[in-house]
Amino acid sequence: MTKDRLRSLSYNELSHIADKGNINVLQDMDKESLVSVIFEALEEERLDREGNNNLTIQVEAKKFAVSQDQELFLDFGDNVELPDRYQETRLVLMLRDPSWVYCYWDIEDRVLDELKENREYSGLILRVTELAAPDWGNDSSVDWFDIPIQFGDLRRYINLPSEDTFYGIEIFALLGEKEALIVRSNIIESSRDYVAQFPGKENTNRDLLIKLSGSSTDIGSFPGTEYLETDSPQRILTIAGEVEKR
Amino acid sequence: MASRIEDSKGLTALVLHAHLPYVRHPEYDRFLEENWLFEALSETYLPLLRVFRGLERDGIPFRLTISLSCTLTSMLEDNLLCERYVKHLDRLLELNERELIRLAGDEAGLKVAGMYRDLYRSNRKDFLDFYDGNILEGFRHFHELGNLELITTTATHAFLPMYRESPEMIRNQVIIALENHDRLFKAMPEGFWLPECGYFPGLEDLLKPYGIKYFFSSAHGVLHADDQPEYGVYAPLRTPNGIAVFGRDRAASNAIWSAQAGFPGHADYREFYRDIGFDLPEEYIAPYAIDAGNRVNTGFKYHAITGDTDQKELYDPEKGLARARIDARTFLQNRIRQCDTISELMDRPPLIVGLFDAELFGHWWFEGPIFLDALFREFHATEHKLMQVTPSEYLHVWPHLQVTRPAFSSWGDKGYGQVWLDGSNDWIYRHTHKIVERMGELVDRFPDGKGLKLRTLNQAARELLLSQASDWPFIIKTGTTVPYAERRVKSHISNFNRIYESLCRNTVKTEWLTKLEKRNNIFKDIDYRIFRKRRL
Repeated sequence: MTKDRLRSLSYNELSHIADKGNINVLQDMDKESLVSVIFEALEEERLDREGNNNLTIQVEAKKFAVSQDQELFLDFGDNVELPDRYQETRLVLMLRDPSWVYCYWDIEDRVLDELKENREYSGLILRVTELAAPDWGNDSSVDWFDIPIQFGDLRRYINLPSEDTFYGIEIFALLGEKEALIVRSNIIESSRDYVAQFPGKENTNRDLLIKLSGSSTDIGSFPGTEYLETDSPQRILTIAGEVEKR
Repeated sequence: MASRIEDSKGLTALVLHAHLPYVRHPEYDRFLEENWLFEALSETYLPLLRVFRGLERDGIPFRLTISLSCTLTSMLEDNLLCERYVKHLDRLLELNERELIRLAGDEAGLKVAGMYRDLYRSNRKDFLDFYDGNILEGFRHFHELGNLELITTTATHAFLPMYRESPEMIRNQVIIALENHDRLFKAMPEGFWLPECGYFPGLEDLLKPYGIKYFFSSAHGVLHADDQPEYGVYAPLRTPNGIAVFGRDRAASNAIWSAQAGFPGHADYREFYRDIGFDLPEEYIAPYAIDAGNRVNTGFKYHAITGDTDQKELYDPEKGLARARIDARTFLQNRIRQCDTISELMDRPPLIVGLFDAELFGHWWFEGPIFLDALFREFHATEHKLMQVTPSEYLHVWPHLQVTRPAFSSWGDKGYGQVWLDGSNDWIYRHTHKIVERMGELVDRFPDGKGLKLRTLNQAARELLLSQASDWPFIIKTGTTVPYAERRVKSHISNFNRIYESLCRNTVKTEWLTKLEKRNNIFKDIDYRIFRKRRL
């Protein structure tokens, strides 16, 4: 983003950008002050965004950096809008990382209308079930918890209590004392964020090799990369010391 | 060869993944985002091929694995884009002529402008005269010589963990990519690049039937495998169905990836963020750097990184070259020391796998191709016991690997799906999943489409594939060209849905279809019946 680019826009366009970006501006601000406020807010947002990405993503993003003013394309004329829903009863579960899943759903209007007309209806819940196996068999449920949802809700991120297990979700309508199953999701296998235990006797070489490989998932700040032309990565020196001692 | 590999103190396998999303807009005379391809051609692909030719000329052995995505190769084959690239070069050369006049008397400025003149002249000459507009021949040449191992990735670079509930879709992404690679290079690839290194357990089962022998993973994908990896990331694993998986070495990768801690951040290197498109007065630069009222980069960047200051010094190409040579030497020395340490712990030479975006070399790190050139020359000239290998060469010598299953992972920020599944872009999947389902429905309803119906169904398949590119959620999350990415993904989904509804009503508009076929013309020979549901 450049101040010049912002200056080239009208006061109304600048106000529109401020509105769109939730940037706090004073009502009687002059144009130059408005440009400064927007510039600083957008720069701060850009730095935050870039700083939140690891090296790979930061560099990959450079492929698409053909201008510093890209973010300001206000409209394209032939904007396409997609439907919010497809009028189907469906629940999809997606694993985002070892601790979080994303799910989206839709319930046909016909079903929703029936619920609305049911006097006993008191709400919808999303039930998250940990399963012992990748099926919905009667004995499969290990644990579960409920999240209340509204008619208008269509998606949610859910924090998983356990790693390396199976999960499925269901939507139930609460009807008096009863629960009516509306839709059931696919089952996902959650992942693990740790090195598996070695069942045999301790193997120092293996442990060292895993340490050298880097067991952290924080790829962007992996130790040992902060070295100048003649220095060896710090982690190699440390482990080299351990190897020499043996 | 095999015995030399076995006797070495360590092995390095460098892998470059070359990919850009399919961007082609015949409906406009010029289109800004097509510059992604033009800049990568000018700064990465053509300079890399020149490096390879120089190494061949001087008898320097080298080994690289290069993954070429289908969307990239399709653009490199496309006549319209090739013609536009030449026009793009001509515009840059014209601007360069003006720059040489503007900078008369400024010796340092002329030196940088002269460097760009040489770069773009060489690019034009190579592109038109040497490769006759088809640089894929250049890659094929070095593949045939054994310097390059060429592999591919999914058809439109879909981030596969987001489609794990649609194995048929993944299978089609794989098959289409392999057929494209075979058509171009007359050989099936042994390896497969998983877009963004996105792996989930079981994915290997969708690769195995097609002869894939290996793929790559992030370091933690290997480290968090079902069983502790005996050699960490310094030897590949074998998945239960027999495909090898090579884990990324973080130290080697970050030495090159990182602008702060790695080589590309040195003060002598060219600064990426300063461009005369923004530095020079509008009345002068407008014909070359104004697009739809916005200033854009020209590619002429005259400054060196200098340091954490806005007062950048002028770039000195000789200093950049010298620094690249020093850094190449350092990189090699660090790998030698790394292997010295690790080999003490292993009963076979450690393998250091460096995975990189190809466009890092040249486009972002301008001196990247020089660095690679210097690295291969240093490798050849220095006495050491390291060897360069390709993954296939390694597997030929060590076919017996620890068998275990890697963990869900990617090379993205925080290591999983966080970049491609986020509050900003998660809306995409409701639609892309839906149209996968609808495509299967269309094939069931029209198992033997002919004439206009066949064309329509094939275009539906193209739109479906294009909507799945990992680039769109990536851009939406990282914020570079968000409106464009949103428009692209929405338009492919919308085009598909329009086709679906037209076929349901039996009212396909020929004029609209023809326009769409001309615009989104990837995979010319696609047959929609590939989406027929099969038992997997």
